[in-house]
Amino acid sequence: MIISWTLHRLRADLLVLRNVVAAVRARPVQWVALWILVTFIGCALFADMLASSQPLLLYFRGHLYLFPNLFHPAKLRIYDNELLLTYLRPGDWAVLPIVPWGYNGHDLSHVLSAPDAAHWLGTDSSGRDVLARVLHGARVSLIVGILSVCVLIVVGVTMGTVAGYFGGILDVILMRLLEIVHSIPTILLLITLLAVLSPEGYGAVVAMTVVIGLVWWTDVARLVRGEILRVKELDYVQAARAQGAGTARLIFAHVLPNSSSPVLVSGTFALAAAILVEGALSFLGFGIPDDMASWGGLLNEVRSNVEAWWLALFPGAAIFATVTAFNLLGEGLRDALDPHLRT
Amino acid sequence: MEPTNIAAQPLIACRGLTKHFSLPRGIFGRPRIVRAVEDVTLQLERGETLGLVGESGCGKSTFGRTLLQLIPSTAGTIIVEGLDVTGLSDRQLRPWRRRIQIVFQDPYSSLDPRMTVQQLVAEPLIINKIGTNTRERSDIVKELLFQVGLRSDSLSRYPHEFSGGQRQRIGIARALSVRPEYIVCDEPLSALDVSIQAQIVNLLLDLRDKFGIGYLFISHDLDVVRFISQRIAVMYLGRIVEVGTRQAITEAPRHPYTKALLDAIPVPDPKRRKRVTLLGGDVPNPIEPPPGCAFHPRCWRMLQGKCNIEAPPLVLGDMGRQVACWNPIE
Repeated sequence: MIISWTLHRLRADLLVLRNVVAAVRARPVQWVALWILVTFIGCALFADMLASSQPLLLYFRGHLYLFPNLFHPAKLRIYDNELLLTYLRPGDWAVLPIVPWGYNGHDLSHVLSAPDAAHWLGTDSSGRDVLARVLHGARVSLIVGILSVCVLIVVGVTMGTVAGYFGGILDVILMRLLEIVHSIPTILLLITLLAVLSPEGYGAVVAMTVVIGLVWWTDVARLVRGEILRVKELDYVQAARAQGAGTARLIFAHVLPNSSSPVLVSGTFALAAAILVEGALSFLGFGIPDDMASWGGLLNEVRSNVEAWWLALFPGAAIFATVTAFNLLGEGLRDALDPHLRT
Repeated sequence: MEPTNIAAQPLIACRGLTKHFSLPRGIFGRPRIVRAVEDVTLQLERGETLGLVGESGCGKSTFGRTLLQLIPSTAGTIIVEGLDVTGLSDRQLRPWRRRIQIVFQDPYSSLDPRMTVQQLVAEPLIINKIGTNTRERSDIVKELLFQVGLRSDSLSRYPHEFSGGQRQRIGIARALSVRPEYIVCDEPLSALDVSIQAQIVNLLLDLRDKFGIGYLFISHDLDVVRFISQRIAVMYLGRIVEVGTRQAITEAPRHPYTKALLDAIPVPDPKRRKRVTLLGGDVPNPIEPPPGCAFHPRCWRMLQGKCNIEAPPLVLGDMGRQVACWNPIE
């Protein structure tokens, strides 16, 4: 019942969201930031269609293949774009992605080459296309950012709600726990964990996500606790109590929805910070394994090839743009939501 | 006073109801206690409007909220139809909360800003399982809005789209939705313009006539209270100093404080001058109330050696008249 009620309230939340979008739109800087993020999220979602070592659409020996790069028919697995083009017979045709290189495709004729017509943003020391790796790297960065923020919001909101609403000894215990967790150095903990576990593939992403989420919930918990202390004494919550509302309804229908706007703001800033942590760890060589693309991992290559400026500039710019955009958006949200706090 | 509904016992009887708030103290400080409500004994009858007057900060609102157990009481008992409800949990209170509702002072903070009027008024219905489906509840809500004089196209609008008076009507509709027998009106007028106040008072009177609802009408404005109430209780610094019928209180006040409150009501006639008693000074600090009768520092009938030493008990006179004074006006 509570869930259906909460769903019922989504309409109200959408209305608030519309106001927020309008408010963000009124600020050109935030509007640009929003579009930068939309672009990067688009890159992350459609990385396989933008940069791939196999064609998007292929008519080959009388068969039509749709997105062979995604579904990998066994027959075509051995071909990459370059090889395939040499095998095309009259009547065969292929639609190649804009960047005809995969994030792990090695172009051995172009090793560590500066940006040119074949590789728009150059290649690394294994002949891998930098643009393809930047596009696919957006996935890792955004997944780490978004998932760890999801974890920290779930943990933080739960802790903050319990501490703020129920108070008493529970509040004291949770706040001391919060102070302990708050003092844990995230990067150090992550380096140790990743060194001990040395996870493969997406295991590293999961490890980072979980650790960041479980260490960084403290800010959100503090904010939520403070808001709940304020909101739970308001007359409308007391009115619901006077009508006989139970604790669950009071929390989920009245207190939480009216305490949640700072979470959105804090979460946005945390997202930017999480992306930076992933970048830093991968740059140090502890983060994402080399066979996956990540922005920090690209920067790591510069340490052994200092003269390859394109290896530093483009992934660096991507990190800078994403983090700045998230921070600007966070500021915009803070300004946009502030008047709503005092309804 | 004509007897409205004769029953063996009052709907709500509170005896010795007390609410103290303890303030945070320094390391070496003594614990400081605000005595917001002190030993209040009152009977609230079905269908009767009891006005509760007193200056700002005298504990009227705290009394109302303690009565509904929205804040736990420090001492005393609240008996609803013979059942002691003091100290029950929210869950245990649910069955009688439905019967006794509250309208708040501030129509801005008493409505959840993220809920539509439909959701606000339907919430008590959902909580108390009135109406089987959304459609049925929606019909009830429309009917309620009609009764409080709101247009039914307000259903999908949010509280911030309404004026203070309209919001107060929404609050009243919400309180009415569960068909309560009694409504605690916690200064429902003080946030409104004078013209709107009259409308809300008339609405409350209409609803009383239509549904036989009893009110505890809390206000600092004795003028409004004497218009709406059948019985009046006067509160000073957390204590009841005088209780009586409207006529008795307004025509023959016995406690000096009641007299002073009555004299303070402005008369809209510049030619008429009456002999008035104006109170000097302020309400004393409820953390350190004066010894004896709390009113004695401001009282012109103070008996030295009596009023400043011993607190007067609330003495029952004829016609249910109660006065707490050592030297009452005869």
